[in-house]
Amino acid sequence: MTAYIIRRILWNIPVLIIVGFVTFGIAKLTPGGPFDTQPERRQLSPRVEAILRERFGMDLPFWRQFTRYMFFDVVPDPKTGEWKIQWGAIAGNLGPTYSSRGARTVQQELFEGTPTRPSKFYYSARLGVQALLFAVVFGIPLGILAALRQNTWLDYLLSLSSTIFVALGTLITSLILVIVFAVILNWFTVIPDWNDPVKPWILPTVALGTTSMAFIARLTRSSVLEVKRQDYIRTAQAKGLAGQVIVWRHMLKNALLPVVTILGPALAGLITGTLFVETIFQVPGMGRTFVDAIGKRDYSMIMAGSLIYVFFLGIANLLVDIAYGVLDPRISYK
Amino acid sequence: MNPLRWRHALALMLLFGLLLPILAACGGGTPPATQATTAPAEQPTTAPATQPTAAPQPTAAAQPTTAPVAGTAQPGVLRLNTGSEPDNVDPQKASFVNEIQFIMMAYQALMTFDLDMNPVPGAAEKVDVSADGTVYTFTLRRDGKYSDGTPVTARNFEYAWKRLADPETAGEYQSLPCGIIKGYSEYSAAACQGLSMEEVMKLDLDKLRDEFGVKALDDYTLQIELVAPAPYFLSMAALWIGAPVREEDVAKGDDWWYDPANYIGNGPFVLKEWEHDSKAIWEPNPYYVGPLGPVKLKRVEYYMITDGQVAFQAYQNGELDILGVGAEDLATVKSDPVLSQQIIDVPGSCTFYFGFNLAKPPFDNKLVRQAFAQALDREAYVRDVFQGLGTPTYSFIPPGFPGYQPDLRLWEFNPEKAKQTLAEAGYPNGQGLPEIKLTYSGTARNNARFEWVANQFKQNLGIDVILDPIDPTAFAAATKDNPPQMFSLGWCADYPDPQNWVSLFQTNGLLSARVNYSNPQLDELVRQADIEQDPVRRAELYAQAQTILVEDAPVVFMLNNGGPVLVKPYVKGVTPETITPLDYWLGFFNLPNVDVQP
Repeated sequence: MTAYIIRRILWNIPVLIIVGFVTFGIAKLTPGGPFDTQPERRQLSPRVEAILRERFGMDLPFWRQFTRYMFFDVVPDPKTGEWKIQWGAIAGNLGPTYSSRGARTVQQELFEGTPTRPSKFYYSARLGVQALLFAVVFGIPLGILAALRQNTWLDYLLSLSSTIFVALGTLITSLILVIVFAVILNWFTVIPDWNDPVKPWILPTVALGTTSMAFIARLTRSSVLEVKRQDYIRTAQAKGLAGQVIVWRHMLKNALLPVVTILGPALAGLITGTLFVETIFQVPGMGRTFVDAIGKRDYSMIMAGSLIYVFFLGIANLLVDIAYGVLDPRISYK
Repeated sequence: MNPLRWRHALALMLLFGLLLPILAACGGGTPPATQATTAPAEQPTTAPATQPTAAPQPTAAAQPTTAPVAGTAQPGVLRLNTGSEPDNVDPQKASFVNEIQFIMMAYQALMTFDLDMNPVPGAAEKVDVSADGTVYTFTLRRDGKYSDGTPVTARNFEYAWKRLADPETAGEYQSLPCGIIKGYSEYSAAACQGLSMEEVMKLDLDKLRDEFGVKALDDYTLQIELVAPAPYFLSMAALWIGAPVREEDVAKGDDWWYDPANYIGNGPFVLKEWEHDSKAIWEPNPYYVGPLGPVKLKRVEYYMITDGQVAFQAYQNGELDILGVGAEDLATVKSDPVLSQQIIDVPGSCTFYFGFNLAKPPFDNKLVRQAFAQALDREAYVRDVFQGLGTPTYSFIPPGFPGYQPDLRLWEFNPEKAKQTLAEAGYPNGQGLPEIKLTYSGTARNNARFEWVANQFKQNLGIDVILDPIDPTAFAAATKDNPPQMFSLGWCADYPDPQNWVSLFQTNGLLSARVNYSNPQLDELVRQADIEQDPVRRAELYAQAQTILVEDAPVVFMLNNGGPVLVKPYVKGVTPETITPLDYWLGFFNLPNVDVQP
């Protein structure tokens, strides 16, 4: 088991490098660069732009730019002129943000808070985790309930509402929540006060969690329905086991496998931040930053977005696989 | 324990284990929950004696004693939306409007602008110009102080201007004073002379820095020597580029400006808190002296709401006091009995146009350009396509700015004359024209606008114009070195002077280079105008130059930005008379003038 885990973790490294390479390639091939902004405003003079490009190593060959970003490069110190090794992403240096002209690094921007305020990563990760918990805590019981009361009004109601929430998506759900709970009912403010530890988190958690919840509920329902018709359930019923025991001990364990499968990617996606919810509820998280970075051609930030996502995806998938082994004794890892 | 149960518990623990370390690892500092409940305006207890007392400042007793309720207006507190978070508010490096707005709140340059956008002494008390117009001697206010109480001296300004010119700084506006201040082009060799960094490093930069024409003669006298007379220099001296940043603040690192504790200026406001990506809190600078004070507000809150729909909801919910209306919400606002009463129209500082690449046929032919210029109904364009956000224009300098020529309307919409001109150009009914492609920044909004434009050319000239929307950043890059055949572009004011507009179209100028335009006659006129010391004669020369520019039609001027802004009735002092079209000017709304009395 331990060997398996270590092997899986090591496997993530080549995956990260390949994903990094592809992202880097796409970002660099896209026309326009970080200094092409607002054509109706004053632009950098061409030589000054050339100096900045040199400063950021943008005039190096592609492979060298990539290895500098990903691994390391030997560069002269701007002040003393001495050559020294500059480590890249593998050592946690995610590069300068081009939008601040290199004044701030990506790791500062994402992972460093101020004395009065946590980091962007904290906001996105906390929101993502809360939303996933919300989705699991409500989605699974609702799915089971719908499956056990198949073809009753309750089932239809749950199916209908979960279809609606999946179809609406987070953007519309978020807007509806703002209009209903902030503007009409006045229970919340449209502009959040992040100094409050609870209140500003409620609506974005619900907005982000609802779509996942609806999805989980539908998935749970169909897999519970499938398990319900299995022979061993009939055996358990024939043995005269109590309904509760059958549901919680026999049915659920098998029915949950597909749900656990989707939790991995869902968690990675929710943690790295989501554009719509962060925009509508003004969450100072990473999702907005990553999407903005694409428009601004902030190469290091674009890279960080995909690397961080893949990193969490790898970890989440590993945990999901371990959870499989626990849920299903037939699965074992060597 | 039952093994099954144990496994079940382990599975649950694993799932939670998956979530917990993430929270624990990134916790950082938890926000202090008590911060929000401190009094809204910390009035300085040791106000300097020089602070004017005539202003109707509320007394201590009048201050609210209870903690403010979120989402309700409070006396003296103004809440604005600035859109997105500024990326860099370093005065010598910034270039975006939201960045400059930050700088202008916190810093005061040597000069500043009055409500008619005339340069008036700001941090300087007076300015003497030598008879030949090349030596400017600024005498600083002796009571000028930074918001931490330390005095503002001429050396601070010398440092700031040298920092702007330093090749290391490499900002967008580094090229602005090229060829104007003595020694600037020599020192800022990359921006002004096009030297590479290697060539720059070979120069004796220390010597060039010492010879640079900005010198502190003593603590309160700053002398700036120019290469030639430049009557617009006083306007340039009012810009953020010369904001007196302090060496000791800048020394704290490249991102010194990120922490409000280092962002110490001499402007009318102090940055008290900056919750990045959420809000910035400003309070009046108790030490401020200058023509912009006294500030009536006790506090200004800048919010960074990027979504227009959300900002509109926040305004309707009473959480913002002023809000620019987007095209999407305009119809709602105009039909609403309450909101429609809260509209004021504000002018803009940009002119948008279609540029032709004069190096590519058919636009090397002046008559073709003139035909295209007459084929566009600007009034309908602004009314129908922009929903009235903006004003149609036929010349370059926008209304409200010095040099605006309301009667310069050479190419008014006239489909008959447009067809005739095109025939004269040798393309009757568009026959024989090569393929024409209109390139623009392909946002959803723009797509609809340019469909309309293509339709105009089809209707009025019988020409099929191919639309070529490209990604906004790629578009910005495309307008730089090898411009497309026909494309949309604009220009926004840096400072209120015709030199900032018309002179940019002289040969190889900032804007003429993007359309390959050159006219020796215009070059000669702006060359004279740029150094002309008689204001009347100078204005005349620029007017002639602008007339040539419009006549030559290297671009078709379409509209000026601007439009309705919603202002809550309890906000006093926001009227068309008290705001200037300069979009970076003190929170746009000339905040020292504003008060909130709910």
